[in-house]
Amino acid sequence: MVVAGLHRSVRRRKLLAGLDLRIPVGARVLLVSDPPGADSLLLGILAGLVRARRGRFEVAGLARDDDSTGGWRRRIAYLPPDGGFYGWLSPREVLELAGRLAGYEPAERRRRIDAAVEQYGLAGEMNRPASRGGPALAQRVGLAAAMLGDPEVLLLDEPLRAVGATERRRLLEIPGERRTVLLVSRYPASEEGLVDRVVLIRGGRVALQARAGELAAHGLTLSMQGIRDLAQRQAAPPIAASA
Amino acid sequence: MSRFLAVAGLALRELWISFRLLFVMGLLLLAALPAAIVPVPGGDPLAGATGRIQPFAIGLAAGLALAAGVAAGTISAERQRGTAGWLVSRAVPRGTIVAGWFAAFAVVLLLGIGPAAVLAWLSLGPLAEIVDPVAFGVTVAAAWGVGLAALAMGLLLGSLLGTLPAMLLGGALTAALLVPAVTIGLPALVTPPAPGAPFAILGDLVDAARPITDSVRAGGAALAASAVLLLLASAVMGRADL
Repeated sequence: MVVAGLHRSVRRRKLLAGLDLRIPVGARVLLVSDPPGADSLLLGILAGLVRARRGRFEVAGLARDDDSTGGWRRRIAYLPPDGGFYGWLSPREVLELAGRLAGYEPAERRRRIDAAVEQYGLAGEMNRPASRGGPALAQRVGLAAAMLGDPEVLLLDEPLRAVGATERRRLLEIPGERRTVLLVSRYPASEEGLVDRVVLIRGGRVALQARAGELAAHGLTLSMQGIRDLAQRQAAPPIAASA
Repeated sequence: MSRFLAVAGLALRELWISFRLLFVMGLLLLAALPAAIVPVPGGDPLAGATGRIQPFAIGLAAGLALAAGVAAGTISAERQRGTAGWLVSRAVPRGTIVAGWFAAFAVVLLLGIGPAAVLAWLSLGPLAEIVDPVAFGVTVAAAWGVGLAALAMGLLLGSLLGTLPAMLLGGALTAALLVPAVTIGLPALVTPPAPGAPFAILGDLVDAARPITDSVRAGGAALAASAVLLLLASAVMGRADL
């Protein structure tokens, strides 16, 4: 994933000001911003839902957002905080629709839906409106629908916040060594062990891009304060040795 | 095609579940109610027929204005609450979302205007003998065509503005174009192919000189305007944040 010179303001606030970012295939990245907003905006741009005013980006090796079922969109999945679909749809209908829009034949669609039902524990909930199962069900269904197409890049915006911590951790341990995951979170500590890199956006640009292990190496924790401190230490010039 | 049908089906279900389908249909049916219940003075049958059809024409214009407002508010809300984004992130082109919602609202208008027109016609009773049924049908069909243009304008405004401003502006613009055509009869609004022409013709169907020709002209122009407005709405939606 390559982002170069991305600019975008929202309500006259410049949230992205020439942002450059390069993320290798298979990385699990925690994306945070200070103050919040730029991280979710970047995810929206990468998902093709929000337009950047300037700059370019490539996701899954493709620069152009196309609508073909076999192209760009099928290789990228985006999960908004609330699932994003109509609450009156049942989980079965959401998964059927997602499979149909992805262009799968009925047999393949059934196979993928059956696998998703098992993986995301939806068996007892398939036929009632997703909204009746509360936000936790809607979020699990949203993730199941996002994963249905086996995407190369997964963009997660505050995912599964209503799901219990243990279950959330299990569901967010996304399989696939070559699958790139970009996760936006206001609570970095809850993503411990789920990510291997950290990116901090500040002033519309990348203020820190580091491996998660570097935090521990500096005696810092995976928290907003820890990420800020690491960014500050990396930005500060080395202290000259005194004579 | 299947993506279009999927969006249109979702849109119809959303309209049904949120009671907006019943609301719009009910409004259009209400348009026919005054024609059925308002007492008309006896004597001149021509005046009697006009006295029954004119309130229907005014009610229809007002109902379509409200439908345009509902369409504008709906598409704006779809943008803002992320349901349009959910579809776009699944390879549904933004233009298809606009077209799907347009088709759903067109069906709702048909379901409302059709029974309303039948009710208005039946309310004529013996006076129906002096009204040309073909002219009545063609004029109502032209009014449906104008309704489609109003919907397309609503979708354009909804792609551009927030929910409440889109709703108010969509309803007010449509009402300003259609209602005065029947109530005041401004030439700029009632001369075909102006959008108010079918409503003015309907309001004065008994005396209209060329109701079928003029209605067909106005209806055709409205369909062409719908196509242009839909293209504009798709282009605006293409640039909108979802």
